[in-house]
Amino acid sequence: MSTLKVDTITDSSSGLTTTINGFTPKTDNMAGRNLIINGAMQVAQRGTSFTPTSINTYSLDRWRSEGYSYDVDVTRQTFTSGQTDVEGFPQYYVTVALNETISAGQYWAFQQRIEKRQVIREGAQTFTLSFWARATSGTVAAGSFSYGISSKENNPQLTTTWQKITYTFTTTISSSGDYASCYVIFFSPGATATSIDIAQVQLEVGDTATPFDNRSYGEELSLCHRYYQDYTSNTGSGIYLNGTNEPSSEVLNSRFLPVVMRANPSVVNPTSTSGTVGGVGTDTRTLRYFTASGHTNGGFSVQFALDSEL
Amino acid sequence: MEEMNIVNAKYFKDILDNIDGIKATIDGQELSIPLDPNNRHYAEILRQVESGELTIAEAD
Repeated sequence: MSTLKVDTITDSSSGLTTTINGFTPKTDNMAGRNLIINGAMQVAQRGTSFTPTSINTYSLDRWRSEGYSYDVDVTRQTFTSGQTDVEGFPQYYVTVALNETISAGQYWAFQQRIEKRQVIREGAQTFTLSFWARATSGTVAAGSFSYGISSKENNPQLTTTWQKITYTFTTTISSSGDYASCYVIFFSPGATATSIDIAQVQLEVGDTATPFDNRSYGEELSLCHRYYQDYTSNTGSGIYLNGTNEPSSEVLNSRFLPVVMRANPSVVNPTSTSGTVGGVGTDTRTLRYFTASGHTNGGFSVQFALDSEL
Repeated sequence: MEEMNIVNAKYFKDILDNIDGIKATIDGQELSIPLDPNNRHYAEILRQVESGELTIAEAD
């Protein structure tokens, strides 16, 4: 066997990387470019329709409301099968509808917190944010919202025809804090009632918006599970436990989690088919124990979600 | 920017009777929160306790 050591491999005509065993590696067919998780809106562990009246509220997986409390609707929609308006045959998009005017000194945003070091690297870098957008009805005037990380770009006018929006910028991802916030819709003071459809959100390193980095549902769900795991009737089912009466305040059933979580997760809204759930112990890898009062002998199930979002 | 609305914060013990977390209602949701500063809920609890906005009740 011989070894080939060269700096660049190009083909003889177009300059593209040459074909290797029938595959031509290019920037737009290499996986792992998208720093956004669930940019295709595939994963919906919390449901598909939200009225995030409080901030710090997550909707579709990894997508978050930020700012101040406003009358807003976030709803996942389904593309017509086989449509060609948005390239790549995506299955879903999201409609974000602001139903009132943003007051002075306030804002509301549809954004994603990207985990530093594990997902986005620290330092000065050039990024390109791209997504498809349209007005849900009528038109959305230019400058109605903005998008980006630290510096933000104003939107062009949107009609009911899908268009791909790209924004290339250079920014420094600082070493402080655990995340970088990427805004897709940022409504500033004075923004009025507006409804926007968004699909295929991608943030990548470099100055070029490459085609959307499609991941399978299983890959995307595993990425989302690092931050949130649902064991309710939303997308899954509860965990079945075997209870005993003695002592009635303890049910010991530790379980390994399918994906190691970012931090020790909070247990959200635990409910039981028998008795009342008390404290629940967790770490990043396991559901360590349940305590419950008033439960009976035999099996019962508990429903809850695990939250280690940023 | 608005902050989390945290009420009814109370420590709970694990099965060995050690303090292991906090039960609280945050923005209307009932949560069991681990004592992990990387957990966003616990980090916010620490911030509100430090600023005097929140008191955590002792465990039973």
